[in-house]
Amino acid sequence: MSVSEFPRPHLTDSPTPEVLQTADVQQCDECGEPVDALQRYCVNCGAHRRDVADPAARYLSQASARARMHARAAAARTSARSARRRTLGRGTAILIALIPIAGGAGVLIGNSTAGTNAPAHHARATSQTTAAPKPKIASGATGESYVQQQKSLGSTTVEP
Amino acid sequence: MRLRREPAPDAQPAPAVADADLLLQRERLTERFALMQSELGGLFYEMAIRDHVQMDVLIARAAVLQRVDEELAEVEARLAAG
Repeated sequence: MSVSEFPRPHLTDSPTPEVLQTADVQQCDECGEPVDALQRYCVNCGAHRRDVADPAARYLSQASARARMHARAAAARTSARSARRRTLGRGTAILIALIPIAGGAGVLIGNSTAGTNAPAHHARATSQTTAAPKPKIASGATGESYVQQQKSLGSTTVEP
Repeated sequence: MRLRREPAPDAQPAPAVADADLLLQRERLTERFALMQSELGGLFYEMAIRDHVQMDVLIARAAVLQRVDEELAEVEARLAAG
């Protein structure tokens, strides 16, 4: 089936206005055939004329630029996330490695503190014991004065 | 020049790892295919509105586009296998 067999409702009857109105004739860069200034493709050799505005090409280039930008942003997000995860893992490893070190240091400090402070504490307790006032008891005390005192008060429960 | 669609060439079993290079190649081929297809449509439109349709030029462009299409199919098959 050739192209001429297809029904062409308005292509030849009323062509695009720009086709009719352009008077500026240029030459194709590839084959040298005359082309309109607004012609996007050379109809003789099919070369794409880059300097002519082409909405489809513009849309495609913008879409590909957007896709590239999104891909780059996604890659940056992924790398940042993995870097954060790496840093977190390293921090956790350091923390876990520090636990036995901190425990050992605590044991050492505890031992050294127990060796130096125990005699001082003992001495302080001893000094406090010795410094406490002792009750003074008379050498010849028998408790008779207390019994007499109770008798004089008339107490009956007190027994000698 | 050949335009008749042939079965895809024997796809070699690709390595198990989906290679980043293959993904990049697929993206480039897809972009190229889309651009060339758009250009083919634009060229036909330009010829049609000027009543100057040249089938040999269009078919030559279509043949180039077909090669890109085959390359893209091969890359996608390797990616699917991997």
